[in-house]
Amino acid sequence: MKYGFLLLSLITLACYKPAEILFTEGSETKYVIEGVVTDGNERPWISVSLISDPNSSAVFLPVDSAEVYLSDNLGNSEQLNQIIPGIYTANAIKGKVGMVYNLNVFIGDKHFSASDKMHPISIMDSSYCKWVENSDYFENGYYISSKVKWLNDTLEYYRLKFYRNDSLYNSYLDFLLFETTEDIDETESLIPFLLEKNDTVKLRLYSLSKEMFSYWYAYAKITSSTFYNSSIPAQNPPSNILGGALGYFQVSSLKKHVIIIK
Amino acid sequence: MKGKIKLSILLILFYTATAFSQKFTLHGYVKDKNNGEALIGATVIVSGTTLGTVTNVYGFYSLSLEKGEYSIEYNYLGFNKKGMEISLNEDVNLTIELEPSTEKIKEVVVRSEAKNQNIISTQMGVDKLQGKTIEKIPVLLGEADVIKALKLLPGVVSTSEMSSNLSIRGGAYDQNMILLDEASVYNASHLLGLFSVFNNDAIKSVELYKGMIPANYGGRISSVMDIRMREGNTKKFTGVGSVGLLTSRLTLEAPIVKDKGAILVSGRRTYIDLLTQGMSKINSDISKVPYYFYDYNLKANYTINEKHRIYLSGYFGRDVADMSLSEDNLQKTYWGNYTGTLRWNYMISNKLFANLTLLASNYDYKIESSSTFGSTEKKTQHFLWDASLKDYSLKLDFNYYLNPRNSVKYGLNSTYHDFNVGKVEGNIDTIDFNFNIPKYYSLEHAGYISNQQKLGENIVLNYGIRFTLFQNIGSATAYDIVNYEVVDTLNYSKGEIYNQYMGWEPRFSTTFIINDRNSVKVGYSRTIQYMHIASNSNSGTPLDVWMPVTPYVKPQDAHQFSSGYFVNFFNNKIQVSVESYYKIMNNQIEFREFSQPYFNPQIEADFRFGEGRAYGAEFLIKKPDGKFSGWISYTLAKSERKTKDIQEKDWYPSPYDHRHNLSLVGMYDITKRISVSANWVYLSGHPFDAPSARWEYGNLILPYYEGKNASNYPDYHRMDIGLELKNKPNKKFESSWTFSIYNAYNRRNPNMIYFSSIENNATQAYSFSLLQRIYSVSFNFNF
Repeated sequence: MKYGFLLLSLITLACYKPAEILFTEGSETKYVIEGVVTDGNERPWISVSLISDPNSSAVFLPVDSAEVYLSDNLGNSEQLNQIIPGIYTANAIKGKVGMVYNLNVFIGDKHFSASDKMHPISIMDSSYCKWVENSDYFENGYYISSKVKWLNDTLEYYRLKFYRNDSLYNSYLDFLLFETTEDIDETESLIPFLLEKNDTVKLRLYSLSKEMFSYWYAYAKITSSTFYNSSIPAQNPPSNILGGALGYFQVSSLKKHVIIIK
Repeated sequence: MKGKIKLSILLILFYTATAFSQKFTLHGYVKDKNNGEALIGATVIVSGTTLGTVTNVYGFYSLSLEKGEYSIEYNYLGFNKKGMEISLNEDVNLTIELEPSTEKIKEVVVRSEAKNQNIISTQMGVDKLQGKTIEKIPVLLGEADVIKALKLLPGVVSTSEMSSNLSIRGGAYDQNMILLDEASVYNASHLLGLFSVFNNDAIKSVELYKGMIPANYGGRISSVMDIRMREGNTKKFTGVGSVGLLTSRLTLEAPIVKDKGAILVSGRRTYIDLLTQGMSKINSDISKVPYYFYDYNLKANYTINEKHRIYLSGYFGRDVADMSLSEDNLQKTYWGNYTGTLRWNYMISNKLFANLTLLASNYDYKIESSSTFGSTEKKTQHFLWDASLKDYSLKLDFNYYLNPRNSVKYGLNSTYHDFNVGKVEGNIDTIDFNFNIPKYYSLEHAGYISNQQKLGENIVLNYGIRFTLFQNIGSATAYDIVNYEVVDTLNYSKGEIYNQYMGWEPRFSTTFIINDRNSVKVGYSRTIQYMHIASNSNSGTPLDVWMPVTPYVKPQDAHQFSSGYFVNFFNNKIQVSVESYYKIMNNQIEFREFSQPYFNPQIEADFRFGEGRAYGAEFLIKKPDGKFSGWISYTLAKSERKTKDIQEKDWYPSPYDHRHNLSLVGMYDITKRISVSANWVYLSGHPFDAPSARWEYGNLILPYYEGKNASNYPDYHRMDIGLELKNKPNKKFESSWTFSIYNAYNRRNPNMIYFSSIENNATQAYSFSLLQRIYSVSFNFNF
């Protein structure tokens, strides 16, 4: 906030303190469903859990009594197996570009459903390690540079996950969400994460539907909100799951790159 | 029913016919003897009757009576009543100067012209203040402030403690029209709302219409705040000023030609930036506060002859936050208003008073930065973001004093609006960038007519109608939006009218005077609003931008029904009123989840439309004069909304829903030179979204929200104390010291609440309080 300093200049008058705020009284049990289907090697997985009381210390309340079904638009369908409490995976159904996948979750008398299409990754990207020196914008060191050819005729949505030595680097402050842009044919961008020699970098590029892009955009906005951002959205991310559950059902084409810094 | 309507028409015709039997007119101005200022709302009454009138905003009155001898009383609170014996054998032009009361009647914020004017007036839901009296209330940092005084009245709440934005009877803060000498003020805040833009020394009077808004006002659906600047002293050179901890101000006024014209110049500036700059040179541990604001008021008037008078007034104010490190490293944010008003009073006849007004107003802000960078070769970068709203208006208003029982107002006005919602331009080295949201242009026209009519001795009617026409004009880009998606973009050429709305706004109120101490009033008004702030903030920021209605965004409108019972006790020394209202608001705007209002040319697609309703009861007990004066104000209210695709099944609390609002204000003159004052306010916390649960993703704990605005901030309460010590006056110079303590018992009212995880992963709410106990002292003088 450009004028946040004005608040700071009044800080001598100000104080923080724990507040006795009553949390809003919840009226019902709420489920959280997260699901991912990709055309990579991973099996489709679905997580089913419960929201918890704001004052509790529990972080994940698995639901082990759910019946979870995954199907595609060719008529293939299967019930998912629970591998650990609250986590369900598919054995037969595999992700394929262009297919539409349907998720159905039954918990007691409740039914939740979602549908998402696997969009192709149309942008051609190549990524490589680059040594940067005497830059006006970056510290000296190794960075990953990505070349992208943008398609101007369709609007597409992507999320890039950046792993450094098997740890997700862009965990919540920067989701690296982007959409195809008009009027620009090709760009080369430096990903602003400083790396070291012998680092192993894994890039995972996911294609997204517009609904999933909106979900992650909202999610990033929530998680990156800071104190000085007074527009902290007191809202839940817009789930694509019908039936009133939180969470998402993401169907993505996946492109991976592995780069070792030498 | 039909018969009753016919009877009413006959009655009106009867009284109108009676009017034509009048022969001569007594007319003129009522002024303050000390400085020649027009007295607004002074009563002119034929002694022993209920026949009479009140002066208009220029102090003009006209009273048509049959030929004869009359005893006329001129009355204005705080001034000695003046009686005149008039022999009305011909039209009489009589300008009266009233002398301020030598008893030094303690004027308080809520004034009344006659002692029982609150009983006999048709006005409901209106609060009036005088600039001289606002300073009686305990002040924050030595600055008497009209907006802070208004917050102590029923039905008025601030959108936040820091803000100068108000919610009136449950409406949004962009639903209030703020007029300074008739020019719109689009952002009334200095220092993020800690002070308003109105310098109290330059203010003559304030009228806040929150219920039955007269037909000559329009453009907003919740309220009109009509602020009039002082005219300047036509008798002698005078000055008034103050030196405070944070600000100082000085107002000078002098006659241009004695008794014919005057000029007033007023200025105010904060100087904490200068003080800290000097102190930081002495002690490097003290950092400079890179902020200041200033404002100027100017007013001049000149009486050409008894029929013609002209006024010129203006305001210019700026807030500047300058964090520049050097000339090469510029970081500056500034925002402010200017207004200009040129008026020509023309007394066309003894009964017909006309006023032609030219108006200009502007609100704009800029964020600017520039710097050099580069380790080997110096490169430059520059960034400028600006937005503005400009208005140019022409108004023609008439007051026609048909007879003592009918006073008609009518007029026309047109305004040209120029909306620059946002423009960004700059460069990084050799790469230029710019991002301009298409501007909006529009015309807003209105015509109105209203009449205040006395029916017999006990019934007073006030009825009128306003017709408004709003036109979007090119050049413009408009969007065809279906299901919140832009499906087509339409471009219009310069001057092309591509969309328009129009509407009728009836206004009606009546007073049934039970006796000189009791009256009952009822009223109805419809209001339409063609512009709104495109911000998802509920309290307002300097970066708020206004937008007009468009083919997709329909005008807001409100229907308000109100009623009131007014009773005075102890020879009008104690005045009590109970007013109730029910307001229905249509086309209320909310934002979709995660909307980005800035730099979003298609922001309209993020709007969600709904309806609102607000209702409540306002209680006011006041003692307007005497050694001890003050009032108790209490409002019980509810404000709700229902919005499609946000929460359309059930009503949810609007952000401006405060169930209880209580103010206690007291002022006591211990001696002629020592007076004390105190006020205590209590306000139910406003609604907000608190989580009802939480959930986990990727090792992050996220809040879960259920229902909109389902929780409330803690209740707000605060006490302020003031002490005024007047120094021994001499003939030419008077001075006083004002001491005040804001938030005397140091209540930590939260300005912001946020949630965070604590050690055991449980969630803890934290509050952030800005304004704790603040002491201030100021030295005031006048000569």
